[in-house]
Amino acid sequence: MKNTKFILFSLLFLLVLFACTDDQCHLDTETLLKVEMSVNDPSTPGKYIDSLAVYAPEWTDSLFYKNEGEGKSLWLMLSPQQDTTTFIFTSNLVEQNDTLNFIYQRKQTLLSAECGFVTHYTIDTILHTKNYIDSLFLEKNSITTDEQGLVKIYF
Amino acid sequence: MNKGLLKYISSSLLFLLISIAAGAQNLNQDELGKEEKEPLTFYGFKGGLNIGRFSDFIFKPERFSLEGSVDLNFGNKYFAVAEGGYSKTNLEKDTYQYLSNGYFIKLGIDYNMLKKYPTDFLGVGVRLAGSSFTQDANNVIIADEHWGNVPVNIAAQQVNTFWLEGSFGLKAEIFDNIYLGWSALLKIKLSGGNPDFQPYDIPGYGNGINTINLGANYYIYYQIPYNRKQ
Repeated sequence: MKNTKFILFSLLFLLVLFACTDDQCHLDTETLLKVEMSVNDPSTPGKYIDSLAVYAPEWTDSLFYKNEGEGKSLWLMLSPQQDTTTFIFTSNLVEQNDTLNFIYQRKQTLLSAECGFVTHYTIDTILHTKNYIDSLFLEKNSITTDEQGLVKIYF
Repeated sequence: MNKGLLKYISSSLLFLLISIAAGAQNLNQDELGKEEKEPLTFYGFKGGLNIGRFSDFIFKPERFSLEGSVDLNFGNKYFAVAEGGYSKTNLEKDTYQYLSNGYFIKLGIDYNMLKKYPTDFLGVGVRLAGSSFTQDANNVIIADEHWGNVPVNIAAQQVNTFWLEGSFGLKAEIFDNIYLGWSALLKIKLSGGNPDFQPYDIPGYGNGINTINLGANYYIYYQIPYNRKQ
């Protein structure tokens, strides 16, 4: 049984090494809603989207399309602390704002020990004003780290 | 699941299958009458302590766990095995604190492929395992530059899980009646858990986020000297 005992102790060392793991988060932790926009109404300024700023009443800052947008799209994160979020769409080219109210369900999910928790959302309803928004379509209502939600807005 | 892990799992499965096939071939030879088949005499039992669990002090300081086993020896070939243990986790990270506390039990059999040194063990095993535990999380922060870092708590929940476990390992008699052994484990989760709050650590199973986990046991055993076959 000498060979067995040799294998026993040599593999013991190798298996202990195998138990070591990396402590870094390598997963995507963002849970975002993509907002695709287009201007169809000729009465809306052509540069409306380029001049667009979005903010929530709870925020201390705004999100500007010219800085964060791309290809007529913006990416927003719903509030992870409550089941409704209000976003205000504003532009210095127009006098009035549009307000969007998202009503949704939240689930805190442990992504991994290294990455911690993320919030997954399921959007139930979107209510909005119609000052410049002509129509709005909720294309994908589920928001996870694997898939973005999608809303299309036509001005 | 990364390619390295897949490669390891597939090679482990292949190795297990070859081992089982080799064992089955020997059984077939016995059945053909080339060797006279011995009745499965009861040779007593071993009690074991998983000393590998003490490596948690170094590798997983957030976890405290204990595991023991009892196996009944039938003819030095088949072993009825019961393993059980306790595990408590307190994982504190910058963005959350995770707590869990519970028990696990594993029932199954081991098959010894050794013929030349029958009191030692080189073989395979299979277990049906279950765990019952509670888990909760405090001070969970979903970091975002606009929404700020407001911590929330996730209420305690009771979780029951079941899994299937395959093993390949060795047990060698180092001193009279004292055995040291290791086994490599492949664990496949069958049911249980919570898809929204998968456990960081299922007692006896490991990371609850994974459907398949790999592991290893390092045991020290004491053989009750009863009706021993030398």
